[in-house]
Amino acid sequence: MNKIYQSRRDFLRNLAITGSVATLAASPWLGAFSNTPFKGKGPNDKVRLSVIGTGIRGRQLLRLLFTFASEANVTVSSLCDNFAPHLEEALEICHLNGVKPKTYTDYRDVIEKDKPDAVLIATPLHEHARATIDCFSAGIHVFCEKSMARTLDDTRAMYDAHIASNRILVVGHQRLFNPVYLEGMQRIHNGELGTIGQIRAYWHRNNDWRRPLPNNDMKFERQINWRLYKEYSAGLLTELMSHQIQVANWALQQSPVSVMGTASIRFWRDGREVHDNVALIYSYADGTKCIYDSMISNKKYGLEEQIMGHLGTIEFETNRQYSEKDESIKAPGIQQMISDIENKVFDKLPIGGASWVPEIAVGDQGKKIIENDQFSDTALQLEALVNFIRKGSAPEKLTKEGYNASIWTLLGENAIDTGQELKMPEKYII
Amino acid sequence: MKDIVIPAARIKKEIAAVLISLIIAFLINVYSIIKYQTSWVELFSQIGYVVFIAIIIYIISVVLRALIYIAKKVFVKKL
Repeated sequence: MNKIYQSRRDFLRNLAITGSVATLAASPWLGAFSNTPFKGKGPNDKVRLSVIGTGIRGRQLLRLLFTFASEANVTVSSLCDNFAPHLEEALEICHLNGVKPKTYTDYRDVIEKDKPDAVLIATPLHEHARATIDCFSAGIHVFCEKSMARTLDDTRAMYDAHIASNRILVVGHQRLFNPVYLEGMQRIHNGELGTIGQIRAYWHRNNDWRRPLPNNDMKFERQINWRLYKEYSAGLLTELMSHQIQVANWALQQSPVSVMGTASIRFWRDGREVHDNVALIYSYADGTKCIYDSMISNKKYGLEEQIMGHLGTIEFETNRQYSEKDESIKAPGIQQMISDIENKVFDKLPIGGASWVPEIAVGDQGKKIIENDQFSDTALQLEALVNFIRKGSAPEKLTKEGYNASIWTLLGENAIDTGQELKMPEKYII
Repeated sequence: MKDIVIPAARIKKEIAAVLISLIIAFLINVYSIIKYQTSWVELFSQIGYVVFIAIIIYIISVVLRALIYIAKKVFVKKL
């Protein structure tokens, strides 16, 4: 069953009721809906979007777009993909929503013939840069899926083209528009967690990360399973970690100074070139460490970003904040005393030869960061994109977040490949 | 069947031992409330624990007194 998400209007109304508006006021997401003048397109002008790359993610973007398209006066003017089955499926989604976009197999036709206001690029990673730069040259705004590009130079070239063309570049880090993160970040930046010493982030799955090939025809292998080949993707790093290093940088309000890492193909030895098991450590100037790992042969721990300060911890993916003080319901004093006496007696029993007592985790069960978390952050990001297009600009901070996350993701790959601790080369600093 | 006769002095002694055990258990509860900064309602709500601890203390006192009694007997016989 599909989740029923809150509309932007409902969401804003709920924020007003719960009093969270003040804390979110400074967020880029609400900024997109502020009453600043429309310098791009007027509210009555239809915003024309084109989706380049209609694979699973491209079609997901399309579906989310249609959840608010009529309210926001947006249309899908064209679709582009060089893989016919994907293009047909995307076209079907448009038809179901009463829209008949043009279709192309070459993104250059989108630019020259359709001339949309903006494109949503959801192609394989290695194709992002060329399409983005060409769109900027033609004066078209770009929403580009993360990670930005396959190489460091391409990532920098995309950013430079964005600056030179003065066109909007929004990178698909949708957590930047997620109210749980916006509220949580506000609390972190206000010092509620105290001094952040460590961020632990992980993304664990238990599947082969393969997509089925049409008729099992191996000639489509690289086109469909591009994420498994180094020529097109850095695997878990660019497809998953990119999101989480962006969250870490956002929480710490700084970029790392160095990264070291190691990785292997441990379980899925099926001819893939990208690692199925990665571990990295990002170091920040103030001494904070972001410890990252990802694997796809065990999903017990799933996905999380744990921001750990001396006063508390935030776990964003599960929408919870924990205190270092044990705020669970206290047992009666006499029971605590009996328990302490028991502990004192039994703790003295040697375990494994030496006198050793395990550290006990804080018992606080935590609290929700925000109560109502039924929303799609990608839909919120797309709504914000449309408003940025109408206003003619987007906060540069958003683009820089996407850029830095993409650069540090690729530096992580380089650190793994070289076995060295790497710093950011001067030429990539913006 | 022969009646067991408990002298009044013994009954008084045991009642005193039980009362002392209850007072000690009660004071332990007061101490734990202060130490762990919990609610004074526990003076009443934790009465079950207090009675339980009092019984333990009383049993300990019985065992100690029995040991003393046995030791005295042995010591007196030797003399």
